[in-house]
This record gives sequence, C-alpha cells and structure tokens, in this order.
Amino acid sequence: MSQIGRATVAFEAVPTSLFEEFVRGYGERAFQFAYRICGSADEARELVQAAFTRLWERWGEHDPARSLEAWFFRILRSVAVDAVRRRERRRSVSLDALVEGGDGEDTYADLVPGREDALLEALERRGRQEAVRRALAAVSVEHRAILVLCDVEGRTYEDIARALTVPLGTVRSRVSRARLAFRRALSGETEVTP
Amino acid sequence: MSCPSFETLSAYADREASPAETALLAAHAPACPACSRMLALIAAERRSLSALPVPSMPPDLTASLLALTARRPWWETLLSELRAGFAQPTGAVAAAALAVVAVLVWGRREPPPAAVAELEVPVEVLMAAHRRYALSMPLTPPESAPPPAQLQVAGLAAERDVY
Repeated sequence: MSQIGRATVAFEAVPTSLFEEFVRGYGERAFQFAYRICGSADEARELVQAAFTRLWERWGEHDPARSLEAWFFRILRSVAVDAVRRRERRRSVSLDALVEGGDGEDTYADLVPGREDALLEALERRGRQEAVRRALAAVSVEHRAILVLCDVEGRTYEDIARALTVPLGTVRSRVSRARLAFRRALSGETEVTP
Repeated sequence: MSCPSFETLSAYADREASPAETALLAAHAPACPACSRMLALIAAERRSLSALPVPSMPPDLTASLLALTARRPWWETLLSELRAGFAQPTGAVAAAALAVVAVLVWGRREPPPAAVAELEVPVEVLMAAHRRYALSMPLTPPESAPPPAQLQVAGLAAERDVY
C-alpha cells in the first residue's frame, strides 16, 4: 500500500469521540502545564493548540499498547520546550549560564551554604510568589518542565520516564539537578528582595 | 553514616529512593540537622511551586480544539474531491482539470540525478552496438558463453565512453 494509502487508512480509523474525550479530560491540565513552562496565557494557548493539532494529525501513529496520555504530554513538552528555546534564543540571553553553572555532581554541602534557613523562612513567608515565579522563569526550560512534572503535578519518576522516554536513573538525576538550579535562582531572588 | 548526595536525598523526598537508600535515610535523616533542613526545603519548594497561580483554560480554546476533528488532512480532502468529481458531471470536469494540472506538475519535475544521467546512451550508439552484436553472434551459442546481457552492458559502456 502506498504512503498516502496507509496514512488515509490510519486517519479514517481515528475515533472522533475518543479524541474529544481526551480534549475534555486533559485540556485543562495541558494548558496549566504549558502556562507554567512559558509563563504566558497567550503562548500557552498556542502551545496547547499546536500539541493537540499534532496529536490529531498523528493519532494513527500511536501504539495502543502504550499510554496515550504519556504520548500526548511528550508531544506537548516537546512543543513547549522548542517554543521557549526559540524565544530565549531570540533574546540572546543564556539564563543557564547566569544562574545554573555547570552540570557537575553537586552535593548540598556546597549549595548556598548557610542559606538554607533563610531560604526556608523566605519560602514560608507570604507574598513570596513573585520571587518563586521569577526563579522558575530563570532556570532552563528543560529544568522548568521537570520541576512542573515532579513538584507541581506530582508525577512519579516512572511516569516522567515514560513521558520523556528516558531511563528512571536519568529522571532521578534530572529532578535533582533541576531542584539545584531552582534553588540557586531562588537564592538570588531572596538576596535581591529579602 | 555520612550525609548522602543531594540526588539521593531528592529521590528520598519524592519516595523514589531504592529500598536500601530509604532504610538508611529513614534512620539517618531525623537525627541529622543538615539532612532534615534539606528535606524541609525540598518540601517547601514543592509547596511554593504548586501554589503559583495559574489561569484557567479559556473556554473558547476547548471549542477550538474540538473543532480539530472537522479538519481533514490534504490527501483526504483531495481524495474526497476526486471521488465527488467522478460522481457529478461538473465535478468530473474539475477532476479532469486537476489531473491535467497534476500531469503538468509531474512533467516539470527536476531532471534525474547525475548518477542516473550518466547511464544514458544515445540511441544511435545503442543501434550500432546492437547491429554489431547481432552479426557477431553464432546462430546457436555454446553453453559456456557468458550471458549476453553482460556483454551488452560492457560493450555499451565502452561505446558511450568513445561517443
């Protein structure tokens, strides 16, 4: 069968009601995820639209033995990370270089030494949301995505590994690196606005 | 026990450490001020991230996403129009016009790549080679003779180079 023939058969097999059910079930979560990654409602809207469009167009490529949700969030993450990377490249600012330093093995002993109590106190205080938001925006988009998946959405490492198609050990190390990056950024924020 | 790496502590905070690590940290962390502080900080960071306000999804975005099911890929639209075209007289004209356009577009494709073009041999050379080959062939070739196709290809390559 020709390429077009295969694609047509796959497309005709898309159960419209299943797609609609998926939109109603995961649309809100997808929007919130996208918003947390990009920090703008308008951009989040575009990202969600792009991710669902890709899902609809490629529905026939999905392996029914695998999780549709994980597949969709992989698409959404990829769309969001690419868009934010493009935007940040246009700004010509390497936020990673400013706030994250290298990717070496960190131990918490050399992490903001003596600042843990101040950070903890600052986080518990009211009105710290702006500092937290700025710190989240300051880490790389990859770190932001993993923080949202792990700390905000409460996904297990296994879920994240499935969504990102990486081994469990990689998720574990990425989560800890993202936390360190966020903490450094937050430490900078709390120094500026004690 | 000395304090674990941040990665281990982070996994422990997420209840994702291995059973051995979990057992060790469950015994160590409560008595270690540094590890206790780190775990408290991870929990506080998690709370602060979750507490960030997020707007709700705009209702018209849901409608826009649901409208995606009305979209058809281009090949499906083309096939539908062709099917409809053969069913109706006016559509048949449109389908025929589409076919003509497709032939024109197809006919204006780029020439074949260089590797293919190099194998092209002028027809005069082919005819001359064929005549010589036909005259030189015995009426009943011996069984040990090489396959004619090989001879022909080798001969043609030489002819082409000379030409």
